[in-house]
Amino acid sequence: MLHLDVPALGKLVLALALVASSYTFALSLASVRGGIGLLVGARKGLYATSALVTMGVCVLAYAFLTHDFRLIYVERYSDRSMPWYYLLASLWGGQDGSLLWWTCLLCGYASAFTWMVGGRHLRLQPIVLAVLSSIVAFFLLLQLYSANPFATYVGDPPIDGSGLNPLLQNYWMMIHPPSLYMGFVGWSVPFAIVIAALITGRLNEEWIHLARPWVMVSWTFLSLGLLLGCLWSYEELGWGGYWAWDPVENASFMPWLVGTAYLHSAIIQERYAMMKVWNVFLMCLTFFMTIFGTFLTRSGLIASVHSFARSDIGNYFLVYLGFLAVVSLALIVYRLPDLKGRRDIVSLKSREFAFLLNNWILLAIMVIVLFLTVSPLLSEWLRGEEVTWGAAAYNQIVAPFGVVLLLLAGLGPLIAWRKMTGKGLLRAVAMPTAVGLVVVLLHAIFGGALERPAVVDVSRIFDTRAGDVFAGFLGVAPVLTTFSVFFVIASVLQEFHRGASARRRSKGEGYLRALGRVSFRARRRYGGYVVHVGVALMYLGFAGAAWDQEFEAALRPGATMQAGSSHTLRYLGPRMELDPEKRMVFADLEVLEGDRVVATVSPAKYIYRAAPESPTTEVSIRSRLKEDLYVILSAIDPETKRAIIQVKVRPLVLWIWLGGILSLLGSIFAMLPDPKQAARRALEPRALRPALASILALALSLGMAGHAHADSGSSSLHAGSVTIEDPFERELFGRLLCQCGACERLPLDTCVCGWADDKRREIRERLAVGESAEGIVSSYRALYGVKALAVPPDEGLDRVTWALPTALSVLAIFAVVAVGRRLKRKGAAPVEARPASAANDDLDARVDRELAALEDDE
Amino acid sequence: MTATLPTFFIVFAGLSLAVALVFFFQSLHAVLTHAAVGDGLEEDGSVKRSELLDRKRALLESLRDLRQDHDAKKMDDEDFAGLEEAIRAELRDVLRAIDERVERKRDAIEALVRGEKR
Repeated sequence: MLHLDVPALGKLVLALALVASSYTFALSLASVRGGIGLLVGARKGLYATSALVTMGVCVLAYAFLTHDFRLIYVERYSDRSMPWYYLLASLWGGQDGSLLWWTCLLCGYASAFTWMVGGRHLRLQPIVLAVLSSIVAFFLLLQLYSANPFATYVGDPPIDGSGLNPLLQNYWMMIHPPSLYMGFVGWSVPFAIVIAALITGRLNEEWIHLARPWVMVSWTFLSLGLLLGCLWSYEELGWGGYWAWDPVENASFMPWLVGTAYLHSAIIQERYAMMKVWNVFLMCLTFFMTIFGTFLTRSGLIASVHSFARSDIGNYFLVYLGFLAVVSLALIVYRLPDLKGRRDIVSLKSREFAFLLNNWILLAIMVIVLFLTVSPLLSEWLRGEEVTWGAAAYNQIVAPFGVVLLLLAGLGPLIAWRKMTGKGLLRAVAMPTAVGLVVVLLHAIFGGALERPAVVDVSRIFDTRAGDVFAGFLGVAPVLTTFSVFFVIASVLQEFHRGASARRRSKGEGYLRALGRVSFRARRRYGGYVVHVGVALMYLGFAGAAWDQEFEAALRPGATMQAGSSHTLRYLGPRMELDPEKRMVFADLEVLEGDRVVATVSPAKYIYRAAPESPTTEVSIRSRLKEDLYVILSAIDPETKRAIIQVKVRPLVLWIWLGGILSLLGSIFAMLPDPKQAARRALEPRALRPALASILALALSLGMAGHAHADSGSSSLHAGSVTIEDPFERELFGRLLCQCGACERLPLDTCVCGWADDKRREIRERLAVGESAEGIVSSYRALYGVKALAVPPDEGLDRVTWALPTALSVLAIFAVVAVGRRLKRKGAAPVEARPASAANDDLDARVDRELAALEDDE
Repeated sequence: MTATLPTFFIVFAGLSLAVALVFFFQSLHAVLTHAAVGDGLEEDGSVKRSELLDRKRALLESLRDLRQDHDAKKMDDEDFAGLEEAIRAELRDVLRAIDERVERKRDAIEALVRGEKR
């Protein structure tokens, strides 16, 4: 084994990379005036920077694999018992290493862009390289001065490390963070492109075309990262849910929302040269939100289950955010005269206007989530007291916007570009509406008998009229979602059918052949429709949460418990296994349908060698299309073999994963390169490589996800195995947050720490002597402050926190309609009839030939 | 696997360093010698051509969508005729611009060929 001075080597490599990125930045800027030698030098400089950062990652990986505990980072996130794959995953398990990993991915993207763009876009290219190398330099500076993964202990290094958090020792952690980072970091490239367009004034469709593949790749990876995050939460955290509106989750969700808005509005600029200012703004905002999300995650300013430790790194990000905002806005304002569209909206009954509405909804959701996420900070600054907005508040406030967004996902494909007649619109929506209504009718008739009622009772988050409105909407959300889901599916199927039928008529092909050809030849359009269906299926899964059921029982071997009307579980007994890292105690249970055993589930407790005092709980999940059986081992007595088993019946959860996979497949389909177009542009296969590489990477990630899922159906738990006597008790505990100081944002109905146990016992005693729930909540608030409530009361500043963004979002619809009307007036100007001439006839004939060729070989 | 992985990473680190050095020297060489374009950089004028081709394709796709929407009876004939003419007019302009560019190029190429023959 080599004996390298890893700390010194690592620091040296980071310093060299910083020098190289600064050199690249300087050369790129110098080449703006047309120095081709300088541009070539900048391109090579960027490759050199990337190679150095890759070397840094390799050196850190080497340190992990050789247990070099001189490095603080290696000591904190690994130990000698960890297998090699978790040692490598530790690279991004903590703040400092994940920043290095982030920089490496950014260099990968920058190099891929440089390679792909080759000698094209010579005006934009120098600025793009300068922006990208400046971002690389910023991250390297952060590592060298604030979060150095190669920092060492002053005294003797420890013999063994502290080990990676058991929650992170999971297969999802091997792929979830890299996917998410790929999604986050990828937006740097389109951002650099738009900044280059703003600086050079080349604001036509060139930058949109250049950015498109990078936008698609980033959006797809971000979607994959979010989906894998949900899976990790569902399988690993063990509370039975997949999305808790934790600030770190929101940090990933907000750029996704803005990026999705951009994906739609960019199509309008490509087709009709409209909405140029808006697209430039959205792209800058998307990148801004990725950095803002990183700031939220890494500053530690906002309490989160899985944020990094509080550090001064937040200050650097804050300065950088300010810089980004000032520069982006200044450039947009400076270029406003050049950002005028060539066309305007012709009619409000047009797909362009539907896209405007889609943008409005997505941004409205983003603004609301942003307000609620940063409200703890705002509240602390304004009145010296923190607040917390729990998942229930987010669910109830965001749900109405979510349902409207889903309806638009169905409506958009049905509406014509430019202008649609009222009769045409009615004709287009008739069948999907009929399908949605029939399903709603069936749901209303049979839902109750199937334990899936169309309307449900929902607890109010506020004791005010607003609370009634929100709870009322969420109560009818199941039936609205059912209608919207089937409306979307029917509308997309109708569009596929219409496309295929039109082609069959014009080309005389068979139906299936026409369907295949029309889909493949307009991949972006039909790929997008598939994404819509995937999202609709995900909504179906989200709606399933309305019918969740929970059961708990203490069982001895041979005893059975009933979980809902269709599940019986028989406890067989405990089983123990050992590996070098941990001791595992399983409780084996058979799942019965009638007298027939249909499955075996084995929830477990893991006792890690590094942390024997806090055993983790491994859930066991039996997934079916109809529902998931989510089984948790709350406690087990090794002597009596008595086990406390908690079972959660989670309807339709599998549809979330299926819908997510379908969405990803749809976006991969939309990204499939067009060999003929590439050939026409004389780019040869070079242009196809990055797209193919991205698709391959995505397919690999999906494959790994599928494989990982098949490997095991269990995972560990930090919350969730809490004995709850009845729904009233659950609701009360759900309103109060644990105040032990370590369990961030966990309500008492899921927190398993000792403090929460004591508090639950105390509250039960108070309930037993007749104290009211309201009285208990009031005294809890008086004792610990408003931050101890899962949802703050609907009064004062807290009311402003939710009411202001919601009101603004609702009012914004008027602004959107006003903008649409204004554009419509401008766009309605009659087209000047050009005098017929032989030259025009010739050109028209060429247009017809080109159009026929497009339809034939697109 | 566990034994060979550290060696793999340290060898890969060494290779990365070598690659970085090679690129750095290539970069310096290009800057100092103002090297002629060596990696396929095309002349700036071709950007314009690709822009025109992109615009042409976008307009053709718009026209195709418009026709599909009209075929699906989503818009009436009068609206369709007006909108189609607007897109066709822009397409004609783009085609003219492409033709003019080709003519300019043709002159330049012919002049070049004549010069070489001489």
